[in-house]
Amino acid sequence: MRARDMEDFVARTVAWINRTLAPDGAAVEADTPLFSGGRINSIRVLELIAWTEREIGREIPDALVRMDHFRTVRRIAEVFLPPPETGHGRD
Amino acid sequence: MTSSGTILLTGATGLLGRAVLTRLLAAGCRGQVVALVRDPRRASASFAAIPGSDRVSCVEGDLTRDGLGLSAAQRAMLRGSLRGVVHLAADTTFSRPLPAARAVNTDGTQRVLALAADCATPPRLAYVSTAFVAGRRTGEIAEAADPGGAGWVNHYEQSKWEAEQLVRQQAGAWTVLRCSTVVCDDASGGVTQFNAAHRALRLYRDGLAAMMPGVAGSTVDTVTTDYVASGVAALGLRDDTVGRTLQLCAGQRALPLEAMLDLCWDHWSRDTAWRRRSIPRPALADLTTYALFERTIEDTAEPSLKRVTRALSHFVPQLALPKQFATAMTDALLGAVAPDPLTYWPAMLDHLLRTLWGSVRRAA
Repeated sequence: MRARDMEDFVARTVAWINRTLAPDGAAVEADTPLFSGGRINSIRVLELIAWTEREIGREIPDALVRMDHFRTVRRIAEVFLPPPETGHGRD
Repeated sequence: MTSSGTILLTGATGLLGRAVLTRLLAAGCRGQVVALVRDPRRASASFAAIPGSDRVSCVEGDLTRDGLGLSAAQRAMLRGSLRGVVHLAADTTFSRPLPAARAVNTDGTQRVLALAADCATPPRLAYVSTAFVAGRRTGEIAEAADPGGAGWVNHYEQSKWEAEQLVRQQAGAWTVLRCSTVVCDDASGGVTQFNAAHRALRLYRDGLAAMMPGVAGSTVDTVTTDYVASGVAALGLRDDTVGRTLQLCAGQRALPLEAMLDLCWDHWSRDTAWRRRSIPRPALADLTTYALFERTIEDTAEPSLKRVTRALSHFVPQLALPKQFATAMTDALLGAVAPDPLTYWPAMLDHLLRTLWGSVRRAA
């Protein structure tokens, strides 16, 4: 995974979150905690999963579904952008 | 009421679903609602004005797709947080072939049940059904599982009956909420969504319904969206409704068929031009006679009249299958009865005329 791909993903995801998920006046950046402090309602992680899966072009294995992996946009990129390790997925 | 945790709501973008969502968010429920929708962006925009909509997440899904169209990751996340399910999405088209009706109403319900069964803690499940799962059964319809065997008038009724059986067999803690025919939004008589009942009224007014099924004791049981949505939101996930089949119906207050026909005729005859057309009240006939009438139309009438008669054939036979829906348990649990149809039918008829059955608003 090239650093530039990661930065592109982070930039697109930050823009998408600020456009669709974050409440007015609470802009999110790459390292902003998404769910602590009530910036984003925790249930909206489902939309974040859908966005991430569309962006990376594959389904996220359910074994990797932990709130910690969606803590910040950079964390999402670190966990999900590299090809998934074998053996995690159920399918 | 499940006051915290996540509730999955299907059918939220429909008229009834939106009304249920509004009431769930307003009912002191501190939890969050995941709305399974086909178009999340459009749904989110349409929900924005509902108070509490920041606690709603619109997720793309479809009752006809494996796993409801959710990804494995989304299902895994839901499995850990889901506390309640309000399943009201349905294909309500009466003329669907049985496989098509089952694909959404029965198989779709099976997929909802599969998701619920996968959850760490099985969620409470409210299944929104129709009072007409009773099908061709006549007499008093109990607030209880229907044993089947009487047959159905259309495949919508049958597919919903089958879905009720699945719910009772598979859900841990369920409530079935059967709704009667919704004919207007609330006591104002406004109609946002037009359905088969409104189309039948138009045919009557236009003089195209020369004959209608009906026998002594036939009634027309109708309710408002407001009443049904309030009932579903209030009772669907409440602890004291587990294992109960509730009927959100007019029940004893349902209009007798002949009184309904008279009410419409009196209302429309205030218009001199309509009265001059001397349109008769439809003749009532039992189902055998009505079937003969349908065959005669098929053999001799012009195509437009055939289309009218075929369209009616999917639901008007219910009028000759007199039934009264029991509501005592539902009324007691809700602490209210359905509004008397006489309080909103005149206003609804006014609305239908004023909007020409919705065509004025659509054209605007």
